[in-house]
Amino acid sequence: MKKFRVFLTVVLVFALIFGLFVGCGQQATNENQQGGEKQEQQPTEMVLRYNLGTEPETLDPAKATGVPEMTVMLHTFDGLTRLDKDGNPVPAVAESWEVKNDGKTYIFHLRKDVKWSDGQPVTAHDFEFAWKRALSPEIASEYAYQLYYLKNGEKYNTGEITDPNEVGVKALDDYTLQVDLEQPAPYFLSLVAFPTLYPLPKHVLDAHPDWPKGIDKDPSLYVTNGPFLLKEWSHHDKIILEKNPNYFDKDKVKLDKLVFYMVEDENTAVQMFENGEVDVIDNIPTAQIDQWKGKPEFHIDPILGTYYILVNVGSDKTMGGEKNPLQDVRVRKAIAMAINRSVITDKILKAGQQPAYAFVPPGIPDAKPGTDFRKVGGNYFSEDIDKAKQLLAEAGYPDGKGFPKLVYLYNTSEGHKKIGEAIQSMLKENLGIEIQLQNQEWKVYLQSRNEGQYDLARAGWLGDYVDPMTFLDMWVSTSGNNDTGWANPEYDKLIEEAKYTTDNAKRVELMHKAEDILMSEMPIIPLYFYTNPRLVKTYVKNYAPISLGWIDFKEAYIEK
Amino acid sequence: MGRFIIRRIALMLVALWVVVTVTFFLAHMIPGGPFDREKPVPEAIKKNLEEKYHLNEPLWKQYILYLNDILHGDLGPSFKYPDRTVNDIISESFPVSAELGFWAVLIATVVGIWLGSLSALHQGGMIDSVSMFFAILFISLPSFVIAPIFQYIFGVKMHILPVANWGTWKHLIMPALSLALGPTAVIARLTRASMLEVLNNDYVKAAKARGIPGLRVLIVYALKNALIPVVTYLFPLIAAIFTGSFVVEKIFNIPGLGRYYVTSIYNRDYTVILGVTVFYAAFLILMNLLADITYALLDPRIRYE
Repeated sequence: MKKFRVFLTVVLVFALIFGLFVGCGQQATNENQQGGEKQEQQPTEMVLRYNLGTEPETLDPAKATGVPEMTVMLHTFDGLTRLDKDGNPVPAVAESWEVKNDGKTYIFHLRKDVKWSDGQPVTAHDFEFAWKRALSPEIASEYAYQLYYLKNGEKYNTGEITDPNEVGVKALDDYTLQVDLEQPAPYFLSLVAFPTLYPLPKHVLDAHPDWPKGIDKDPSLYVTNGPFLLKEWSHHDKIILEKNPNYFDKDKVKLDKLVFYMVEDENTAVQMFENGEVDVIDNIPTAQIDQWKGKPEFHIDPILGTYYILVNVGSDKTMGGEKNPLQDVRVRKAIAMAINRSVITDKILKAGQQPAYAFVPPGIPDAKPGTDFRKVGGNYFSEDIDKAKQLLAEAGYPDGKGFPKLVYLYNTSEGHKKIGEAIQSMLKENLGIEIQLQNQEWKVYLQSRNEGQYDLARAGWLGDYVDPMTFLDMWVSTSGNNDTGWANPEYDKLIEEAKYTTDNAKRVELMHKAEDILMSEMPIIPLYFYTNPRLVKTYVKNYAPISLGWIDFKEAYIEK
Repeated sequence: MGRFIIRRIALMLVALWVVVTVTFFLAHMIPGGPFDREKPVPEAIKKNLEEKYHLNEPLWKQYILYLNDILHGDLGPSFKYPDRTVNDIISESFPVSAELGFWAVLIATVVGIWLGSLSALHQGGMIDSVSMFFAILFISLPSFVIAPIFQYIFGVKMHILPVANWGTWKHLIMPALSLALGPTAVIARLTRASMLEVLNNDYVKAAKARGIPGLRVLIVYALKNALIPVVTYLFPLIAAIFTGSFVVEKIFNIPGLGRYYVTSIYNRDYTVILGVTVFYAAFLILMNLLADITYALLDPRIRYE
C-alpha cells in the first residue's frame, strides 16, 4: 500500500516537472509576444492600452459599419477632414475647399505632403477610387448609402447606372478633387471625415484586389495615411498600432504605441483596469458604476443617442388580436406622460443619462453658433400623471378599463429587462394598463420589429453624423428605419424640403418644425438620452471623446 | 482490429454527412440573417450582399454548393468577418484552445487519478474524506464562478497573475485551473469508485495470495481495469475541452475556438456555424474511436472483429 502511494506521488511529481519544462520552453517563445500587460517596454516609449471591446469585423473602410472598426481606422487613416473633440470637421488631407453651385459642388484642394505608409503620395485619384469602390455593387458595402449624397451615387450602387464615371466625384488633377452632390448637405464636411469616405491606396489595391485580406498575416500590407500604422492584428486578442513616422501632422502625435484589446467580458475589463493591465475602458457594467462614481477615473463622455419606445401605429390589431389602442394619439401621449424617467436614469442606469422629452439629443449645434438644437427646441411634454389619466379616459379607457394587454418587446439583456419591468410597473400603477414583457434574441427581435410583430418595442438610435437630420430623416414614411408604420405626408415634405435647402437657418427651422410634428404625433416615445461612461486612468491626458461613440487618441499622451 | 477501425471511420463519414445536413437546414431555419442590423441595410445593398454570398438561391442549391466546397476542404468565407475564411478561423483558434485544453486535461487526469486512487486505498480515512468533499464542491461550482474568483485573488489582489488575455505561461494558469477543477473532481470520484470495486475482486485477492508484489498488483492488476470508466469519461472530455470552452475563454479573453460555437449562431454566420459544428463532430467521433481502442488495450476481455 505504502509503495503504491509513493508510486503515485512520484508520477505526480514527474508530471509536474515535465509540465514545468515544457512550460519554460514555451515561455522562451512566448516572451516576444508579451505586448505589455504591465508597462514593460523601454522607459521612453509611450504606450496607451484601450479596450476596443470586441474583434473588428473588417478593417476595410468601405465595408466597416461598427464602432470598433471605426475606432481602429480613425487612428490609421485621415480623410479630407478630421473631426475634432467637439465633433467639428477640421482640415486633414484637404487643406482648403470651395463650395459652389448652391452647396451642390465642392472643390477640395489637397495637401501635397501627405504620404501613404509605403512612401507613395496620397492623391485625389485615391479618393475618387475609394469612393467609387465603396459604391460598387461588387463590394456590397452596407454603408454605401453614406455616399448616396453624391450625384448618381445611389443609381450606381443599385445597378441602375453601370458606368462609375457618371458618379459625382472626379480628380481634376493629383491634388484637386471635385465632388458633385444630388442635394446640398451642409454637414458634408463632417461626412468626409467618416471612414466610408477615406482614401485608399489605389496602387496597392490594383496589385491586391482582395485587400485587406491578409493584413493579419502581413500588417505592412495595410497601407494607410494616418497618425498610426498597423503593427499587429491578433484576432480576438489585440491590435497594436505604432506611430507613423511619415505622418504630415506627426508633431501633434505624442504616443509611440497604441494597444487595442478585444475583451468582451465587461467584468474582466474592469478587473484588468483595476490591475493596471489597461488604461481606458468603455462599457462599465451597471452593477459596478456605484463604486466608481466620484472617482477621478470615472468620466461621463457625450454620445449622440436616444433610447426610446417604438409604437406600432400601423397595425389595426394588437399582438393579442384586439383593437389596437395605440393608433389613438391620446393613448400614446398618455403612456409617454405616465413614465417616470428619473427612476430609470437614476436608479437603474446611474451614468448621468438625461430624461428625454424630445427625440433629437443635445450636443448638436443649432443655426446660431454656440446654440444647441435641443436647447432651442426645448421639451415637448412633461411627466404628468393626472393629465395622462385624463387623456386615457378621453380615448375611451378610463382608469385603464377595457384596455387590451400590450406586448413590450426587447432584445434579451439584463439592462433592457430592468427598464421594461420598471415601465411595466409604472404603467400599471399610474394608468391601470397591463404590459406583457417579451424578450427575443437580437436578430429575431430585429426581424419582429421590421415585420411589425410587436405593440411596443424598445429601441435605441445613435447618430451617424453631428446634425439633427440623422435623427429625423429616419421617420419619413419610406425609410427602412421606420418600424412604426407611421406615415405623415407633412413630415415627409418638411424633411425633403430641409434636405434641399442651402440656407442653414431655414434648414434648421424646417427640422424644428418636423420634430414638432413627430412629437405631437408620438409614434415613438423618447425615454432618455445616452451617455458614454468610461474609466480612464488619471495619467491619460488629452484624449478626444467624439460624440459619435468613438474615441480619438491622436493627440493623447501619458503623464506619470 | 484493423478492419474494425476502417469500419468505424466509414461510419464516421456518414455521421458527419448527417451532421452537416441537419445543421445546414436548422441554421437556415432560424429567423434572421447575417446582414440584419439595427440600422437596416437598404434593399438594394442587401440584394448585392445576398447575391455575393449566394443567399438568394434556393436552399437546396446552396446546400449542394456548400457540400461541394466542403468536399474540397473549403469551409467558405465568414459572413461576419468578410476578410477571413472559416479554414483560417479554425486553424488559428484551435491550437490555442488545444494548448489550454492539454494542460487542463493533464492536470485533471493526473491529479484526479492520484487522488482517486489514494482515497480508494485509504477508504474512510482523512485523505478520502477531504478529497471527496472538495470533489463535490468543484463539481458543483460552475467555471464562471470559479474564474472571476481566481481573477480577483491572483490578479487584482495579489498581482501575481494577469487577469486575462493570452501569450505567456502566466496567462495559462488561471484558465487551465478553472477548466480542470470540475473534471479533476469527476475523475477522482470515478477512479475511487472503480478502484474500490476492482480491489475487491477475486483475481486481485488471488494475485496477492500468490505473492505478486503489492505495487505490481495495484498497477497492473487493479488500476488498469479501474481506469475503464475513467476512459469513458476522459475521451469525450478531451473533445469538449480541446475544442474550446465558451465560458472560460470569454472570461479570460482567450483567442480560442470556444467563442464561435455561440457567436456564430448569434451572428447567423452560416459558414462558421457549419464549420465549427462539423469540426467538433469529427473530433468527438475520433475521440470515441480512440476510447474504444483504449478499452481493448486495457481489458483483454474486449476484442473487436
